[in-house]
Amino acid sequence: MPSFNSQELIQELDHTVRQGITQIEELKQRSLDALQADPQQGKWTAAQHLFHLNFYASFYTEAMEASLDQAKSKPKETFRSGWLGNYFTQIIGPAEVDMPLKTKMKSPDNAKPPAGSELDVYAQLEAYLGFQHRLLYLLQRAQQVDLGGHRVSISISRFIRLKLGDTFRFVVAHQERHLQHLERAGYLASAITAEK
Amino acid sequence: MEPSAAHLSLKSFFDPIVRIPEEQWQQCWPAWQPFSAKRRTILTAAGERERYLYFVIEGIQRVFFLTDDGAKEATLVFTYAPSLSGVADSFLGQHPSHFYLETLTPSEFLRISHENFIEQCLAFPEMNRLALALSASAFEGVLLRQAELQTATAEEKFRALLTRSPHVLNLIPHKYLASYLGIDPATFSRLLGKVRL
Repeated sequence: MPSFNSQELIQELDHTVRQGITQIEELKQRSLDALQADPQQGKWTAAQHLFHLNFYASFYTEAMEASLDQAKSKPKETFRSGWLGNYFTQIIGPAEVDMPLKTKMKSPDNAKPPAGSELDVYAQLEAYLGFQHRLLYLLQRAQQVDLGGHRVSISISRFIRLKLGDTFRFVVAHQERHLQHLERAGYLASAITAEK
Repeated sequence: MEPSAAHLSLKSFFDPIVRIPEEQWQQCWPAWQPFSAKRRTILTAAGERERYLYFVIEGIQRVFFLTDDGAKEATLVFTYAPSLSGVADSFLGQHPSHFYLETLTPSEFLRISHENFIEQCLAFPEMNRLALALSASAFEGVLLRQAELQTATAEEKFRALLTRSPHVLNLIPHKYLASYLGIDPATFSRLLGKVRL
């Protein structure tokens, strides 16, 4: 399993979250028409992607904050990823240049968004930004604990628990994947990850 | 379009400070847009620019500081209706905020973007005067609080807070109130039992 310098990992995740915030702030400036433009047949609209991300962000920011509130560990220089946490992060992350074919995934029913027309896209954008700000806050606090010393349950099963450091990686990777979808659907102009 | 009740209370909040002539206000108020947030929403994160000036209609918010290493937190300001909210220095200077702004309870605001605010200050001398007066008053508040923190005892600070804003006791977690006063949470609960107001 890969291991990371804890401080560097936190900085890298912080950087990725801030890049995402810049993109969402740009999205906020776009007209309602542009944001509601129909994507390709069968694909999600911007509002639907955001609803889906907010569903997870709400769950994981709360779970991670509870974990940090209880944590009594001391920070460790190295974080060693768990096999399951690392696997989840790999398959849920954005497509890479050298690995364009990622696993196609289906969202669990409870994370599936309602029809795009029922969602207020600006409200979804604001809610998403709120969760990103909380992620930054949690990452800053995470410097004080052992990222491998605490576990957080995943949303679909409380019996499967990932190391706190992996939960951060997994959540950020999942968001990156969806921001990449938003780019490909033409909602976002600038690329965060290299395009094929 | 007609101004909402919230816009009317914004105007009555401004009037005693600087009276904006009606025909100018007609052009200014629409830039103050309604915005709402659930409880415990971080509206501005440290490291991000403050993009908005908020006018509180409903709810309580706090501005807090977290040390770079994430070890210690200090609550610096509470805001509630009718008052302005936001990370003032970052809003005015558009530099990355040193502070977080968070809602403690479900909150309703009117807010104006920095761009619109500056545009109005450039277009209307009265708006510019208002902006200076608001900055002066925020600055005054910060310095007075600094003076209080350096001169008052724990009990004096406790009394002053609860005389000024008694309702906060039931609405704000006591650990945040203790942090705001710069006293230990244990000292805070001791004073709570001891001090008669």
